[in-house]
Amino acid sequence: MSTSSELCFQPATVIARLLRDRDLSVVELVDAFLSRIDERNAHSKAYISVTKDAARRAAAEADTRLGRGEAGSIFLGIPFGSKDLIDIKGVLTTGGSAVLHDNVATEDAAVIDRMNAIGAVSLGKTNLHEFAYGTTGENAVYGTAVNAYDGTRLACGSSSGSAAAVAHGLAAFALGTDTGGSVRVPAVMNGLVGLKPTFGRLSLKGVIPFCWSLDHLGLITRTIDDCAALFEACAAADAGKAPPAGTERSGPGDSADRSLAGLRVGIPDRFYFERTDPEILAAAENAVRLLEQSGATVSKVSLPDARHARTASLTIQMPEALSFHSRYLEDRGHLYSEDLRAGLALGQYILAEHYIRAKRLVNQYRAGMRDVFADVDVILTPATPIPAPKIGTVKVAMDGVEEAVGNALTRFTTFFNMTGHPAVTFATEMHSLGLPIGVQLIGRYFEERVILKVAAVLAERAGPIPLPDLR
Amino acid sequence: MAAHPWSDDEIAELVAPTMGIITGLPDLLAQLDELRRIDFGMTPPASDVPTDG
Repeated sequence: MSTSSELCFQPATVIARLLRDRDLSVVELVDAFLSRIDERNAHSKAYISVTKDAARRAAAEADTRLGRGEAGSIFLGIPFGSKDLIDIKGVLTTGGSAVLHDNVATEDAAVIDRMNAIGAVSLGKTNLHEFAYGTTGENAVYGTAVNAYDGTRLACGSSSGSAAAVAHGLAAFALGTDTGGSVRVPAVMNGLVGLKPTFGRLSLKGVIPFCWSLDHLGLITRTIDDCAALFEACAAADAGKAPPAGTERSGPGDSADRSLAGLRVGIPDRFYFERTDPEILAAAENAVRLLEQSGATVSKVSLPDARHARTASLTIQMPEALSFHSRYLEDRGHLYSEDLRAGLALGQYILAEHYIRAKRLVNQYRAGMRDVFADVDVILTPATPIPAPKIGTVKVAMDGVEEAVGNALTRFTTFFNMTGHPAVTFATEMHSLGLPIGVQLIGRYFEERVILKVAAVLAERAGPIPLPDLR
Repeated sequence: MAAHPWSDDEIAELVAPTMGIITGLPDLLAQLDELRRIDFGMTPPASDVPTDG
C-alpha cells in the first residue's frame, strides 16, 4: 500500500488480511483514518462526533488480540462509523438534531454490542437527515453530507454521513437505518453497497426510532464481499430476529461458484421502469443481460401495484414519528428543523382511519409478494429513478410528472420496507454525469445470503466502478 | 390530549411544501381518498390472545 490514503479506500476484507499478516497494525490503521477525518470531515460533513481516544484504545486492544493470534472475526480491528441514532455508551446520540444536544447514551445499542464482540473499532457517530426524516440528508445543524463523486450534489440519506464516511475514505464500513431507502439510496449514490436485511433481522434495540413499523438496521460497505462478511458477523443469534428453522438458504451453488444456473430472477413489468433516467434504465437492462449470461432464468413478474406505496409509507411514518417526538415538542419544539416540524404537523393531520388503511394495504402488499416469490427467487429493479441530485433540489420532473425529490429518491425502495423483504443496492455503472448508478436486488424473507450471492456475481461481471477523485 | 400548536409558516409548508422531502397535505389527502376505494376484504378479527405459551 503506497499511501495511507490508499489504505483508507481498501475493502475491509483486504485490510483484514493486512492486519492478520501483521503488515499493518490496528493503531497505524486507525491513525490513518483519523488523520483523513481531520483533513476531510469539514468538506464531507460525514461525522457529527469523532471519538479519537476511544478509537485508539480499542485499536491497541485489537493489536494485542491479533498479536496473541486470536482467531476472531475478520472485523477485528476494522474501523467503522455509526449513524448518530445508534447509542454508544458514554457518547452523545444527537439524532442529527439540536433537540438531543445533551443526550449521552448510558448503554450500547445491541448492534454496538455486536461490533464490540467482533472487535470492530468505532471511529464516531455519522451525520444524517434530522432523526432520519428525509432522504436528502440535508441537515441545518450539522451540515449536509456531500456526495463523494461531486461535492455539489447530495450524499443522499437519511444515512448520509454513513455513506459519506465510507465513500470519502473515512471509515471501512458504516451502520445506518433504513425506513424507506435510507441505507440503500445513499449507498448506491456514493458507489457503495447498501443492505437492508429482513425486517427485525438485526436488532434496533438502543436505536432512536423514526417509524417502528418500517425501520430496519442496515449496513453500508465498500464491496459485496465486505457486506456478506459483515452481515454474517452481525447476524448472530442474539442480535435480532432469528430466521425460522429451514428458511435460511444460501445462493445457488457454493460461495465460490459464480454460476447462477437454476436461479429465477423476476423483473417487474411496470412502475419500477417508469419515469426513470434513461441511463439508469439502460444500466438495469445491462444487469439483466449479465444475470442471463451467468445462467439465471429471467422472467417478467407482476408485483403488487405500488402506486400508493409512498402514500401508505408516509401515512404510517408521520403519525409514528409524531408519537415518538411528542415528548420533546412542548419543551424543545423550537429546536427541531423546520422541515421536520412540518412533517410532524403532517402526522397530526393524518386520521386514525388513514393509518389503519395504510397498515391494511401493507398486509395486501405482503400477501401479493408471497405469490410473486412462489415463482421467482430474486427480483431486480433499478435502485433509484434518478442519479444523486444537486444540493438544494426541491422537485424533479420525469416524463412531464413533477415529484418531491425525497419521494423520487425512495420511489423504488420504500415498498420493501413495508413488505420487510431483504434488499441490497449497489452501483454497476457510471452515469454520464460522473455519478454511480445501480440496481436493487430483493429476496425472500431471511434470504440475505441469496441476494448477496447474486449481487457478487453481478458485480463481478459488471466490473468495478472508479473510485471518486477526492484529491 | 391537546394537539401540538403549529405556526402559520409550518402550516404553509405542510400545505405547499418548498423543501422537497414529502408530499403536501392536500395531495396526500387526495391520495388517501383513493385508498378508501380499495377493497381490503373482510375486517380482520379485532384482537387475539397468544396461544403459543
